[in-house]
This record gives sequence, C-alpha cells and structure tokens, in this order.
Amino acid sequence: MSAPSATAPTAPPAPAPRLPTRRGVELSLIVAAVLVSMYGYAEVGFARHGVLPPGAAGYGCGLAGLALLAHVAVRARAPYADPLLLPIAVLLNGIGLVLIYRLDLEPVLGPRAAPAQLVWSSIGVGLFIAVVLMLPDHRVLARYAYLSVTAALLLLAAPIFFPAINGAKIWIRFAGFSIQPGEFAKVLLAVFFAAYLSANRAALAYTGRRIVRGRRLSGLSWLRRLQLPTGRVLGPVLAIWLVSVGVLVLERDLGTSLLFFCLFVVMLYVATGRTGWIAVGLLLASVGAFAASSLEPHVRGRVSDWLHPFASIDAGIGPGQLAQSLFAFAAGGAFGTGLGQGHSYLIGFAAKSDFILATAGEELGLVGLCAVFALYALLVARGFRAGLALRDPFGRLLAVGLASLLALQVFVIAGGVMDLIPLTGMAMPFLAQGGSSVVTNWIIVALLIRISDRARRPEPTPAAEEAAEEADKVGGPAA
Amino acid sequence: MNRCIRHAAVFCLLLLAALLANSARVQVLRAGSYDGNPANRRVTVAR
Repeated sequence: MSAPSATAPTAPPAPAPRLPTRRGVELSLIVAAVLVSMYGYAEVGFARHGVLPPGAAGYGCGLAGLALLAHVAVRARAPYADPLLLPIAVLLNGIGLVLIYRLDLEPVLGPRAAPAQLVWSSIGVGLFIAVVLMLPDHRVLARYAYLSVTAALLLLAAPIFFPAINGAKIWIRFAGFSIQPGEFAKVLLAVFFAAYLSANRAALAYTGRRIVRGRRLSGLSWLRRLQLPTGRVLGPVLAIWLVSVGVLVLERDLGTSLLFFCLFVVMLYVATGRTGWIAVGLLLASVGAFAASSLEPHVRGRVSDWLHPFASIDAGIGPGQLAQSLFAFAAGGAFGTGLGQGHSYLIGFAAKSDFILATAGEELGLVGLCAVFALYALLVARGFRAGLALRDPFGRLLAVGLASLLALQVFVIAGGVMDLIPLTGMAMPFLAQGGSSVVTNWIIVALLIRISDRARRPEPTPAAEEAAEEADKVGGPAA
Repeated sequence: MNRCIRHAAVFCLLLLAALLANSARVQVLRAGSYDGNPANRRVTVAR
C-alpha cells in the first residue's frame, strides 16, 4: 500500500489554456447564411407568382447539406481555421444561386441555369472537402511549384485549339460540358508564384543597380534608394509579362491577362518589399495596355465603350450591353426594386454570368450591393490576416496571393459592369453562372481554410515555450 | 514582409473604396439621368 499517493495524489499538470476553435460560431453563421439564401429564393417566388416556389425545399436542403458537409470536414481536419471563411463562401454561393434562379424566370435569357449551377457548386464543395481532408499542410504545395506552373501553362494554352465562343478563346468543350481552364490556372499560378518568390526572395530583393548614384543629391535620398533589378532576376518577370500578353493576343481575354499580371506584381512586391518592382510592373503594364488598345480592335472597342457607354444610343442603334447594365443599376437606386421585380433581363446575353452584378444592383439596390462588396472584403481581409499570422514565407505569400486574386477579380468585373474601368469578361466569384469559376473559388477558400488553420493553431508545446520564456525573463537582467 | 502585406491589403481596400464610390455615383447621383434616358425601355415595359 502506498499511503502518500492516497492522501496527496500527484496533481495533474495544469492544462494549457485551450485556444477557442470557434467552430460553433462557424456553424451558427452557416445556418444564418443558408436561411438568408432560402429567404431570397422564397421572395423571388412570392414576387413572381405569389406562392412559395416548388423547388424551395430541395434547393434549401441542397445548400444546407453542402454547407454542413463542408463544416464537418473543417471541424475534423482544420479545427482552428478562421470561422468566417466558410459561411461567407456559402452565403455568396447561395445569393448567386438565388440570382441565377431569378434570371431563369425570364425566358428570353435562354435555358435554365440554376440546376446546373447547383451541381457545379456541389462539385466545388466536394473539392473543398477533398482539399481540407487530404492536404495535411499547405507547405506541401511548395514542392509542386514547377508541376503547377506547367499545368497552368497547358491549361492556358488548351483553348487556343478550340473555336472561339463569343469572341474569346477561353473555352474547352467536350462531352457537352464547356470548361474554362483559365480559371483553374489562376490557383496553380498563385501556388507557383508563392513558391518561386519565397525561394528567390533574397536574390530578388538584394541585387540591383541604383539608378541615381552620388552623394550630391542628399535631398533626394528616396531617388537613390530606388533600384532597378538586374537582368537575371528580371527574366522571370518579363516571361510572366510575355505569357499574359500572349493570353491576351491569342485568346483575346483581356481580363485574365490583366489579373495574372496584377497578381504577379502584388506578390513580387510583398516578397521583396521593393517599390522598384511596382515601377517596373506599371511600366510593363502600360506598354502592354497601350499596345493592346492600339493594335487589337476587340480591346479598342472595349475602351471606347468605357469612355462613351451611350455612343450606340446617339448613333441610333439602341443601347449597348454596358448602357443596359448602367440602366439596371440606376433603376435599383438606393434600396432596389426587390427580388424578382427588376428588368435586368434587358441586358440580354451574359446577364447570368458577366453581368450578374447588375441584377444584384437593380433588385437589391445600393444597400444590397454594398453588403455583397462587404462580404468579399471580409473574405479578402481574413485571407490577409491569415497571411500576417503565419510564419513561413511560402504560406504568407500564398495567402496574400489568393486574397489579392479574389479582390482583383471582384474589382475587374464589378468595375467593368459599372463603367469604372473598361469591361473585360470575368466571372464574379461565387455569384456568376459558370462551373469552372465556382469550383475554383471553392478551392481557393479551401486553401485559405488550410492556411488559416495553420496560422491560428497553437504551437505543438506551448507550455514548454512559455517555460523557456519565463526562464529567459528570470535569467536576463532587465535592461 | 509584414509591412508589404499591409500595403497590399490597403491597396485592396482602395479598390473596394473605388467600387463603393462608383456604385453610389451610378445608383444614386446619376440615377436620374440614366432613368430618364429615352433609350431606357424600363418605363415602357412597366406600362
């Protein structure tokens, strides 16, 4: 018998303070997101026919089931992930389905698209779950940098061999499906840029030639700090520029080309911290933009539409698409016409894809549009937050790249349909009709979940680290 | 790198601000002239 152990049991080691995982918050936000989407769906039905639409239950159950499956996957394998990412993605996807369902009620816009979009969303959520379950750590991706850039270039090049659809060669068609491979290339290129830049940061940041030498210009010290990168490091940048110009010329896809280039410049700046790179990027971009707008008639048309959206009305041939889009936004005003009660079908072709935001603007108003933009802003902000909290350069660059990718995409298409910048065809993330885009955006969110889980997860032995810190404080004299 | 990440985030914030300002311009400030445009078929459709 050991009496001491009975009288004074050895106290268990104090449990380390458990970091909140916030999965409950995520679940309640997901429930709210699904309810908002179901409410929107019901409102469309009541506004149009005065009854609850017949598919409401199936649609709601579908979205809720997808969201819960994704939530279970996150709970199982990424317990410390940011709790806002998944609900925002579910809500945006739900709003997109409501808007597409609403436009399906206009027969002039062609066959129904909402059921297919729900199928694509399921595939997207499936891939989301696959990434969350099977990718143990985002750093694994850095090993596949050159594989992913090869795949991205192949995907980008593939549509060249297929006929152009609606003026742009960005589609692959087989077995009744049409796929936009450029969408998948975005993620692959973000992975490659992050891996390449994190491996070559030092060389890119510390080799260079000063443009201005000499000490006389002491008042212009910032000018002396401005350095031009050497030719050897400039090579890859020029290569990326050539690829994006090639995409533009061969596939007539201004939006994708702009997106790739901006993404690369942002990631290059974050990796090296050199403002000189921004100057180089702006210079190359303006040369490319000037050449494209003066040589490509397609691009020139977009620029003149942007400057004079009502030119076709003055010419007596009726309003163009951009003019119709502006009319739709204006008809919405501050508070919108209400779901199902607008006339955004007047936009005609691409009302469900590129111009989906016009429907949101007309039927939900400026208020609803601001809410949608706020959702995107939150998504982007949480991505940057994960990047700031991480320690490994690859993960930080990947988080920044994916967040910027979303932000740039939203800006390019939303600015395009609202006449802020020249219109370029691009999918509004999660909202627009288009399978490739929805699937890609779910993969982006999955990667952000994976990264934020790593960023918020406590270190393996926090107690040991704290003890070491305490020892340091005790041992070292206060300076 | 943190400073540059913050700069990139501020850049994205500026893009958002531009979008919001532009939506206010289109939907509120210029809405009257767009609604009154004779080529806007909304008025005739509603009748």
